[in-house]
Amino acid sequence: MEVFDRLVGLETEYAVRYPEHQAGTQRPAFSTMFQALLGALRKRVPTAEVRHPLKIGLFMANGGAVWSESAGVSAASGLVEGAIPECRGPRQVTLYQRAQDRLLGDAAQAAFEGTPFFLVKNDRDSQGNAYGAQENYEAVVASGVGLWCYRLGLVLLAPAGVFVWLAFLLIIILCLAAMFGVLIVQAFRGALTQKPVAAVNELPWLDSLILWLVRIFLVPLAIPMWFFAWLLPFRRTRIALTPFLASRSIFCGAGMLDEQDHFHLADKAGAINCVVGFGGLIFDRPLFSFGHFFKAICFDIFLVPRHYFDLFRARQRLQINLGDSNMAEWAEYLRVGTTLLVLDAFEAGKLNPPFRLPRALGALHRISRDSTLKTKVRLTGGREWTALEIQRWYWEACHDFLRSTPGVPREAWHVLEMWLDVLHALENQPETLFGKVDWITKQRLLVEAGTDAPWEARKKIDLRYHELSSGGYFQRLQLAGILPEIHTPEAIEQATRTPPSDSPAAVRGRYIREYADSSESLRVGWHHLILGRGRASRTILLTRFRRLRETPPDTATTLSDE
Amino acid sequence: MTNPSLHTLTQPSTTPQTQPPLTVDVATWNRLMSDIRRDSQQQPAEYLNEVVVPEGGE
Repeated sequence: MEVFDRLVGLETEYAVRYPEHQAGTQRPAFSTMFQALLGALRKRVPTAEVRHPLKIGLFMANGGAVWSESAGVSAASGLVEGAIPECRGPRQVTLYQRAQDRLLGDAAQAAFEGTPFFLVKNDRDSQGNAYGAQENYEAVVASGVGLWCYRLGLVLLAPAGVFVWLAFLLIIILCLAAMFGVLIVQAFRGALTQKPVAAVNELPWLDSLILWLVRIFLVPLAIPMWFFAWLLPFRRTRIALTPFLASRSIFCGAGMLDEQDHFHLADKAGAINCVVGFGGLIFDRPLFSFGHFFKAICFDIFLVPRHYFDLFRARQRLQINLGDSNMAEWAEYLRVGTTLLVLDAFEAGKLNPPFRLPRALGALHRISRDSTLKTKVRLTGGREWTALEIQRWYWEACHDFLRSTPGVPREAWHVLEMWLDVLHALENQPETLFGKVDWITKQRLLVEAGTDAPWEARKKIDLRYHELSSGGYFQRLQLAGILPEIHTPEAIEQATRTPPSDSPAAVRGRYIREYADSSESLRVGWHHLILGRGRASRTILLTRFRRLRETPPDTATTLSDE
Repeated sequence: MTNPSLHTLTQPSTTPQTQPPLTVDVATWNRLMSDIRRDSQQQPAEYLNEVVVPEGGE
């Protein structure tokens, strides 16, 4: 595979801020706000409904998507999740991330006339709840004997799907019984003043009940699944990547003020509690998330069997759950660019760290807590290195890789140069990274606001730095024109409507634009599109997307109809 | 010739934090910091409560 050729995607969970004291109204249910946001998006860009039995959301003309996350049955609270289209290279990734931030941020403010709400692009709220960013990289899941063991593991885990569906039937019956019980009691008391559906939407305890039931049923299943995920998929890649990921927060951490008024480099690092996990399903906050494997094996095996069979391919989606939601384009560009370089070098056999990070979580937390960057972490082989020293080792390996590889794109050299510059600046002149590295920018604002300010005011700086509005502190700096930017406003605006030309998103976006105003039904997913309904429907597989390398970008797509 | 009212990227590491960090004039920098300082102290606890996410996060 060539350098910067793999598909990359970012998912971002945005918190919702509803300014009650300004609006003078009661905070609406999350589901109401989310539906209003979707309405505003439909007015702004061509869209298509998501084809998913359990998710509510839209795909947009640029090939990206927006969902509601953790809304649960009651839909009392939740997160807005945006996913950019599949991209190649860090420049394209940051362009589409900016486009998504603008689209969703504007849609939230336009959703309710006169009473705007706002999206906050960060990773922890004031209570310490974790959400935020996830990175997805197309990568080799295993090779040789390891690949066949991985495939055998998939076969052995398939019966788990039957157990899950039986468990879910039981949970649904229990919840329906509980809901009807409450509604009947309310009706008898005369307290049922609204439609039953609306009343059900305002039963927040239902979320907790369902979540606990799901977790109780899933724990016995999660143990063999976790063992499988830990042992087989991406095993060598994870070992090679872990020291790099644990130390990269020195330039791509978003910064965070904890409850003890202590400043951390990374917003999310402190919440990470395991190296491998399923992304919150059983209270886990993993560095590498296998939630999509879990869903494909346990849920999609009956709903969308193709998703399960897609897991047998040698190239899969490696999901990194550690990264922060960056406001600074520069940090985001470097976060994705350096990770791509490390992955490319590793898969080319040119990056084999002679050390491991045996206590990865402890190292991650210690590095994040030290803004002087002096903390050393223990590696195997007797090494004790700072995060800067670890990053330098990876830089050297990637440098050697690029020098020995023909046809390296200019962007890869640019990333390598920026990477070296930032390591040098972090060691010698960190203040020069204001506006480029989020934690340095945020730390500066905290100093300017006064170290004697009350904790709440300082924490407000931490959170409002990430608000996607002209009132957000990062955006205030941006509007003043004092921050370095990679993309022009015109390019960002174009990316809100146009997909990347050399990815499956190009096909998805083209169909969405063509059918957005049509009476014909179009249901969209990441892997395929369905045109029409019933027997006359036609499925278009995006997984069969291939680039035609020698043709111009606009025509460089092929796909197969099923 | 460099505009003397602008501060450049090449500040030494001992630069006091009251100096603007990038190529920004002092007046703009001071106004921005003053706005952010004032805004951050307006009903901060209410702001923290307005950012609501599901318990436990994602």
